[in-house]
Amino acid sequence: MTSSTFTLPLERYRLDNGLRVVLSRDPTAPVVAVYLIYGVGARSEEFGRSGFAHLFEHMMFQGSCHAPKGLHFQIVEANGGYLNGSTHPDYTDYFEVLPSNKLPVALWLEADRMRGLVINEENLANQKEAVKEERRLRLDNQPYVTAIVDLWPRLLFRNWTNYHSLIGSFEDLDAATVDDVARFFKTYYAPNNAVLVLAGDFDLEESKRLIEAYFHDIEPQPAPPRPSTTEPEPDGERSAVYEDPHARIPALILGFPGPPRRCPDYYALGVLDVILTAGASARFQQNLVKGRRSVIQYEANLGWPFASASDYIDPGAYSIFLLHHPSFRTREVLDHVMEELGRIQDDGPSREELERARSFLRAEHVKQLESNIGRAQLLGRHELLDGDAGLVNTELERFLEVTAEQIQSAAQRRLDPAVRAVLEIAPGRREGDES
Amino acid sequence: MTPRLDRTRPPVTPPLQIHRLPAVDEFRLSNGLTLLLVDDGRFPLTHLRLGFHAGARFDPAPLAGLSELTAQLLKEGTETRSARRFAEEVASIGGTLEARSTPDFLIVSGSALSEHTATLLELLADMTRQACFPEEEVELRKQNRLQELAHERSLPDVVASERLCRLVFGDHPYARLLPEAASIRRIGRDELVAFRSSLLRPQNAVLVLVGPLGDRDRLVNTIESHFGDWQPQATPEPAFAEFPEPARSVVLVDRKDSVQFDISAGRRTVNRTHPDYFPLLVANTVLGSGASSRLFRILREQMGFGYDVHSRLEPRRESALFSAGTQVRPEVVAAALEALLDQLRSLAEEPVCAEELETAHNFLTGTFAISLETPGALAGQLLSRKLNGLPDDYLDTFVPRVRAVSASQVRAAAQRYFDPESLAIVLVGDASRLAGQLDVVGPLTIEQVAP
Repeated sequence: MTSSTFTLPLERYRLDNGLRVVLSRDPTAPVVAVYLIYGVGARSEEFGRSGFAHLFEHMMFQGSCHAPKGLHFQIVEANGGYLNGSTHPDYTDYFEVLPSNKLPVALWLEADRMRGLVINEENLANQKEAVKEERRLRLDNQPYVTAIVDLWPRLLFRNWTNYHSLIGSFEDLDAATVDDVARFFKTYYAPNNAVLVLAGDFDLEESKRLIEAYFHDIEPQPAPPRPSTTEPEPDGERSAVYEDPHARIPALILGFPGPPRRCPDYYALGVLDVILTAGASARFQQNLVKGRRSVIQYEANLGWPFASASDYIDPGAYSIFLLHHPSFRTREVLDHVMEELGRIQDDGPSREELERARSFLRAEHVKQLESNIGRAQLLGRHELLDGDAGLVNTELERFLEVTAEQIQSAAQRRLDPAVRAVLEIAPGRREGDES
Repeated sequence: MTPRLDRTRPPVTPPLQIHRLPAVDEFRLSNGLTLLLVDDGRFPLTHLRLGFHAGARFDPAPLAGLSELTAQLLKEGTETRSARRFAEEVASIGGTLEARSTPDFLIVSGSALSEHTATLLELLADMTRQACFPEEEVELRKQNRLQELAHERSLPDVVASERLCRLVFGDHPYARLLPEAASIRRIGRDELVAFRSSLLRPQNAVLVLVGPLGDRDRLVNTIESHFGDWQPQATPEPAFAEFPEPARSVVLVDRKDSVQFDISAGRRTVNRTHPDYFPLLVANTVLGSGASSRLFRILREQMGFGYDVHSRLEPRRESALFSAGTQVRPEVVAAALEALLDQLRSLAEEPVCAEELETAHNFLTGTFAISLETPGALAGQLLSRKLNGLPDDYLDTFVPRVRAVSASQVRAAAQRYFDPESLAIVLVGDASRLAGQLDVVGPLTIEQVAP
């Protein structure tokens, strides 16, 4: 077996109520991952309800038809597993990873909460507080994160649906009512708006019987509305400077409107990102951290910061975040980065660089699939977002086919300085600093 | 036809299975290098770990940070390859090779497409045996490390952990979570070369390989060809240092503009070879590991104090750091701290009920099996077992040893290790927002975040 012949087995079908099911069996480790992904995310939110999809994700752990508050966590852990959920712009997902003979526990829990939730004032008030502490912990008390989460999308996008805060404002969180929660549940958490994935060690026939028994009679709902995510044509560069009270090191974020998902430029930019940023031989490491000695650390991706190349729905963006040495002005560092992008636009990547990028992509693909939860996530996201979990076995090839010429021309088209977004993050002044 | 089943209650499932580990082929080369090989053909990737007894506790006192700088610079130029060429060769085999330093060990982790396992081993040998620390790479790494340290110390959880370690471990090297800038400035090429050549030696190392390893003789020959002529040499012991006795102290670190207080309480406990370790592990799980633990259920889900409320046990070779903590809004600091200490007390006062104990047993043993699922994770567990001097059957007996812990042992462990009077307490937040709550906390020292 080599990386090019490594494939996942998979079976796809649909229950009568519209629930899509993907099964990928591998009995070599006694572990099973159960993954449910719903077609709802921050981009489903209405104006004035920023953060609602995420607050709702919390409510999914507050009790359901037959599993009172606390039981969800307790029963998964008491059966030797762990669980979590996460909210993204275009989807919300939940998983349990369990020793394989505990599979029915996860199916029971997921079906029970798809059937109905316990939604009351007390639980909602408690989770509003938990989310506020989560916001303080992850954003407001950290360097860079507020700029990344709340400000950066405003420079990239013009449409509120695309740029509003995923974790939401305290004001919007406070405004959420029990009725909002109930309505959101009915609209979006229906079987026909979800994909269920099992990956790992399980019996195929037995699992199908259980899935049917637990999920078959949950009522489908009309297809949920999708707010328009259309962006106007970019009308020039957008830039801003943010003084960050917690940051000690200056940072820069640079971004460009992304190509439509799975179009030729999408694959080309995916490979270009590897050439620029993956591993110690990448251009940013060799030319900016070393050559220029201006950049300290960086990360970049299609979809960054809330999604990855494999899981954004349009519109996306290609963004680069860099911490740089304070002896350089942020605008100088911006010039250094633009110069690197310009070199790709002028000359394309070398043959050796492209070969290395392909080896990297082959290895990364396998790494992503080594754990059962990693497989389940990728399968579920392809099924929900692309309508075909089978892409897990074919998508790598599309990246490997990309040529140097395609990378160069995609860079010329997509990394256009005229429509870039630039956010400079300056360390805030504090007592004792020299003025 | 749809089968009938009672959907109103949780399904009954069989008890957890005992997880069998794959066969581990363990032996030594004649120069003392310990090898652990697991032939795992599931994926076309080979994972490796090479660990040395050369972690931060081996840093000479004025040169804290020497171990981590050595680790970071191993692949930045060797006797035979420039940093750039090394990076390109690693990338061309779909590889990664990263070294890091922990309090006890220096560990190189890597992987590559399995058809290139021999090249991966050649590169691994080159970086660990022939790293030459070119001046300009050393200077750049030092410069950037100073900036990274400033960044890390702007993170409230790092400030809290760093201060807690100092209180708990006193003059022992475990007290240093991060090196001071002045110490990094003192380190030069000579010190790096000396550290590598004295500590990165075969009899001081463990190499673990997990993946589709192919023919054993051919693999062992390849390993011999890259590591066989590596000369053993007596390695220095870390400087001896006493641990201080656990004692109550309270430190408030004033971090201006904080919108939350980070609360941490902790102390030194025992390492994994101590008879109290498993009872302590179960007690910690009941207290604060996972979402069915007491701290999560009570402080977060009932009282709504924090988003993250946890306790953890971080084992080191000679000890373990126990800590419990949360991050809360300023107005509830005293209340949250009191609630946290109450939970510690109550575990010492009353025995846990059978259901809670079983949940902890199952959570620990089930997630243990899950933690061995991937080849890389298995390699990490095997390396840790060997470097920490744990018994050969440690991973195989982990499950029964957890299951053997009784409610009275949990209580005894809590009495011995969770006594609030023995805990160092660190609060990180904006002191000006703590008005009126200080007296509840008791006598405390106030410090400023280092600029």
